[in-house]
Amino acid sequence: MTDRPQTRPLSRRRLLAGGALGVGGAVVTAAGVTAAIAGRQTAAPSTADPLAGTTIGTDVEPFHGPRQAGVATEPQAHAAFVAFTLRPGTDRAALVRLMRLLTDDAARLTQGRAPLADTEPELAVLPARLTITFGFGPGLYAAAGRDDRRPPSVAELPPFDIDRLEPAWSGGDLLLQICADDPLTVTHAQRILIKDSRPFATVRWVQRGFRRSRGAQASGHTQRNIMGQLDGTANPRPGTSAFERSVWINDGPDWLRNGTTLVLRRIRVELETWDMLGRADKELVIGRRLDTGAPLTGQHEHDEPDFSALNEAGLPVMPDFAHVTRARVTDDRLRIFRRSYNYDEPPDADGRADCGLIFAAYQADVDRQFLPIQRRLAERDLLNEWTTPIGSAVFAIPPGCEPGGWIGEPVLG
Amino acid sequence: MRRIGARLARLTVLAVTAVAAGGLFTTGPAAAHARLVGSDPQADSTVTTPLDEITLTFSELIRGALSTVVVTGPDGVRHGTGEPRVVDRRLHLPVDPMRSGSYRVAYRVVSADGHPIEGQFRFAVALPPALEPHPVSTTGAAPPDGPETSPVASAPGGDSSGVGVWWVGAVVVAGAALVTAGIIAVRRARRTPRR
Repeated sequence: MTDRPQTRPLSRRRLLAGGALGVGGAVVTAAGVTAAIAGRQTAAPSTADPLAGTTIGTDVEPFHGPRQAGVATEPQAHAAFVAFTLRPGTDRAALVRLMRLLTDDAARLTQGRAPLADTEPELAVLPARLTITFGFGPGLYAAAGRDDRRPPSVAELPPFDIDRLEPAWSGGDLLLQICADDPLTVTHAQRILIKDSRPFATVRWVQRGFRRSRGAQASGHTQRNIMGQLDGTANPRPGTSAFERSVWINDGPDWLRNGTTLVLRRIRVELETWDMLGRADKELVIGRRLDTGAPLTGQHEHDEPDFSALNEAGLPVMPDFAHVTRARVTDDRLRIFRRSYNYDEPPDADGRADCGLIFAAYQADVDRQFLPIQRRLAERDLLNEWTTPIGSAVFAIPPGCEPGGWIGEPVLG
Repeated sequence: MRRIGARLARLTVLAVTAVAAGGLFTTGPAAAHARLVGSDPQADSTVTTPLDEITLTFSELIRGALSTVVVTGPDGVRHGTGEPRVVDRRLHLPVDPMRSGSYRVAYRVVSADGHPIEGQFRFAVALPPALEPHPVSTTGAAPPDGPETSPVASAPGGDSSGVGVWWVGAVVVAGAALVTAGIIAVRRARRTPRR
């Protein structure tokens, strides 16, 4: 039963192990995608095998490596962000047991193998590029008596005037970021991991999000968010030196090096009032064209905005209040990498949407990179009128681990 | 939640007003939001006295921190100085001394409900020679302090005291006399050769 599904991931793993491992997540991902495309072209449709003719379900992302997967990984279509509060008495020894257990679960699940106590093992056979990424909140370092190993910028963010934070979406001692191209895979992984965490921690919040389905749009293109804008144009691209410098911690002790930090904000979008803006006004608010994503001073999505350009009346073509103007950063060391998901909860009885963005920003240092941008946005980004931060949490993403190791070992060991 | 409720209520009122007003649909949704209802100097007017600020008046409250106003002079030089100051529906922009010529005021402001509004208008400055600012003076303008100087009261020598008033008054009278003399001269000159 589980024989057939395992052959594809296994062969691909062997291919990946033949040199790509350790080079970096992006290269590995590229190899995986290439292999996936090759597999799709040669697979002959078969009526007997439900896995024939598709590789989306059987595609795997490597779990082991110096850095955790799920950051440089091409974003999967579905995500669950699960935050836990540690139970009183969960000390360092307990955290070691918890992280050993969860690491083993993640290592198996991501490779399409059922964990030891999986009561629905059939659900594990389609990993669909599942990644499980662990984040440590300030409370975990405190509980472990390892506050000296916490990246200094991993702390609650200062308050901003625009914030309307709800405790139900904020904070957390431990984060699981579960991403896959299939929502049932995410659901299954989430259940297993929460079950195994239960003796140690309580669920604080869960945020489920989505992007376009895999294959709906060619990979590597900027996706649109729920407001209809291309979102992420200015991101550093995985595999580039800009990405290396902005996202990963490249020096320091081994509990910091090859790690990063995550700022996760739940940002509600006020679509009802946003829709009252005309198209031209929406473009002024963003600083980009809605159709092409080009800056108001350019023709194409990746044209550099020209902030000195004036229109015929003498006004800056890129308004001072435009989101792009406020968020602009040119120094790689000051950039952030966004890997956000949309959320869309049931509307209220009057049909008003409850939707927005699960904004996920990765950077080597929150204070150096995220906060200056956030301050400029909070100060006079006109987009604030239609976006409301209702949740906020900050986590360290510790380094990855090799086979036999476990996530968090340099922090807790 | 309260914030959104209030915002929605206001938008609903605006929408109802727009529907009641009928024909507004042809001009797009922005027509229901703040618009420029007046200015000092007025659009297409000619001012004959020195200005130290320009005032824009809108139909609704606007946001000060998000406003941009650019005043461009006959030489293509920007004349606005510093940040615009917004009090309720009024925006005040201090300006450098202005020579005679044509000026363009371009504004981009944000109304209370967040909608951006853009526009421009022109006015002319025609100062008597004695009142023309010295070509090199770029910093000599009256500092834009104190509470709102009312546009009505900003007639020649409006708000200072002491010797300055006399001086300004004398210059203005002299200037006005010169302008009058000039106009009479031009009219005479026109009359004679034509017929």
